[in-house]
Amino acid sequence: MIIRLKDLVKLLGISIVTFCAVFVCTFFLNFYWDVINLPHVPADLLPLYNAQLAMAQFTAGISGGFMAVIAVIMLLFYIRLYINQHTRELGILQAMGYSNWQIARQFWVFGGSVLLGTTLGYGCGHLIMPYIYDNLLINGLPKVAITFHPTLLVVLVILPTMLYAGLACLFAGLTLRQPVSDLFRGGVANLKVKPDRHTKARSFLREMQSKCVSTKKSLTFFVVFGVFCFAAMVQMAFSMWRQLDTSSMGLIILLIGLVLAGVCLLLALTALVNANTTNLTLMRAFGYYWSECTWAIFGGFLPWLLLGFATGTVYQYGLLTLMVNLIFRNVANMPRYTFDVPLLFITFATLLVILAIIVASYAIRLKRTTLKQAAAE
Amino acid sequence: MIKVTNINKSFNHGAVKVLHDLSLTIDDGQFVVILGASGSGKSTALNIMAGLERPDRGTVLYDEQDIYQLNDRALTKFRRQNVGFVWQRYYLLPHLTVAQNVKLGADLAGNRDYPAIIAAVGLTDKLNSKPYTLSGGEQQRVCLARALAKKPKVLFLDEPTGALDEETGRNALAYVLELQRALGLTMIMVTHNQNIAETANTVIKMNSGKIVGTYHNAHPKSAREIGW
Ligand SMILES: Nc1ncnc2c1ncn2[C@@H]1O[C@H](COP(=O)(O)OP(=O)(O)O)[C@@H](O)[C@H]1O
Ligand SMILES: [Mg+2]
Repeated sequence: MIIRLKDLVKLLGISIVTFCAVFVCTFFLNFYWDVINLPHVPADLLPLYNAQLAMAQFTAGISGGFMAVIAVIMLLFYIRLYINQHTRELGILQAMGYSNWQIARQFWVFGGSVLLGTTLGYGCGHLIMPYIYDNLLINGLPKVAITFHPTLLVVLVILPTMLYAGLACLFAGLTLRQPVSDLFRGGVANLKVKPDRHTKARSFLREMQSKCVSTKKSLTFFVVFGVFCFAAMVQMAFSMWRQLDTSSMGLIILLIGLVLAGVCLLLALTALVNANTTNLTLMRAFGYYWSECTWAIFGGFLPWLLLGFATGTVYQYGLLTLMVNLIFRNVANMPRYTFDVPLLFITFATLLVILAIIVASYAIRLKRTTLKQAAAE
Repeated sequence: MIKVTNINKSFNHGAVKVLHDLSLTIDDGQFVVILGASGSGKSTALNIMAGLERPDRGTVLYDEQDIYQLNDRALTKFRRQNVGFVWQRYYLLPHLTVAQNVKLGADLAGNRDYPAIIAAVGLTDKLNSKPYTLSGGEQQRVCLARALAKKPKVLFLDEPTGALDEETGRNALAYVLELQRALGLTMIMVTHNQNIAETANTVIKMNSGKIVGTYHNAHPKSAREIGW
């Protein structure tokens, strides 16, 4: 076995994301299937009843689908990272005559993180179900008993685990198809030599900034998505709370948003700092101020941060408008929803403060690192 | 003038004592070699002299200024304005070209003439190459250019020829010496190569964290004249 437990701990992010996805889908879909079979729904409750069923389907579909995609991207990201960090060991295995697929097969254990997340998510989904049923069920409808749906267990736990494990092997196999010599050189093949047109005009810090983004393209995705989640879900949660009087749903959305944003942003920031530890320590030795170092490493991601925030804001506004005006269109006494401008600014300021705190905590760690330690890592 | 007085340093909360009451003085424009076996504390001493690592006790004065009285930002500013480094392991930024790596140093001094320094180390034709396409000797010359581009007053070199073969090492040393004399730099080099010591003005011998001898060469040799 070449993949150790230590390597798998890093995949906790995937477990967290799959946990959230399965957790939400479990109770919403279980609720949906139990309620859709209700006989005799009174005619005056029918619009609300239909709206709520649509809501359950919609939320489970969107959040489940979203998070499934994120989990896939994170999985592929970590496999690539693992292979890049273990090129020597893997190259030796290849040189000794192991075929790519023999090595790749071992990557099925990466699916373990998915199993952990989905199982816990499924379990917790069931634990919270009585509370959800009490809250969601419309006044006036008969009480619904919680039924166990085996299909959900298969669709939300067993199938995803197998699918992700298979995907891990497949992707590892494809990545390992580079020639051994390239792997030995430590993935140098990734560093494509392109003529640098801007060298003359640009300062070193600008150059470093643009290289940080262009050599770590997958991280831009996590930055955009993490900020998107934060912007969308925090604003949506508070709007639901303050304007639409649906605090329990709002709370779930808020928690999921914070977890997703936290996982994605921490992943991106940690990967950036780890990839640049030696560079940062060197820059510090030469006399660059910490503020300049931070700017060089993170500054290039600022436009992506703004993009994530803007799309997240627009997305939540669209979704809430859609919900109020379409899904709950026929429901009487539906509160009105308007865009909350102060909330926008508060959310943005909070995001900046959180990011500043994370970056500062890295600064403290890096200040104690010497070049020798940095290079040995 | 650099005046080091009674430096003590230990690691792992005092478990590993590395430097014991180290004191020495270095005049401006001098080339000083610190000679000693591996593990004798040379790198640690160099780092402390260069403002990279705080000593447990003792002072490091640059023209009366005790650099470890400075706070972190002021110490960074001190390094920015005064010191340059070359290490055995290069520490070049792999994603950036030779020119961009040299610019790391040049920008700190507002030095727009960095191509001249790249030319001085004979790498003009490698301006847009990435470090991993260069030989060891060429990479070491990029490091030298990077350090000189920031116009340091003191240049610190930690076993700069340690990873190079004789011919390449000799050439690298020749470059350094020539530039040091041309620019009138103070230069402090750590090495375990006895022969290199013959090119220095002053040689400081270290053993187990202590200075065990200091001598001066009245007529330092050139890089071509020494054995290896
Ligand atoms: N960060 C550190 N933590 C613990 N021990 C260290 C550290 N840095 C150096 N040492 C120890 O200090 C001693 C001297 O190291 P160093 O100054 O690098 O010696 P030299 O450069 O002469 O080979 C060595 O025994 C080394 O193990
Ligand atoms: Mg050393």
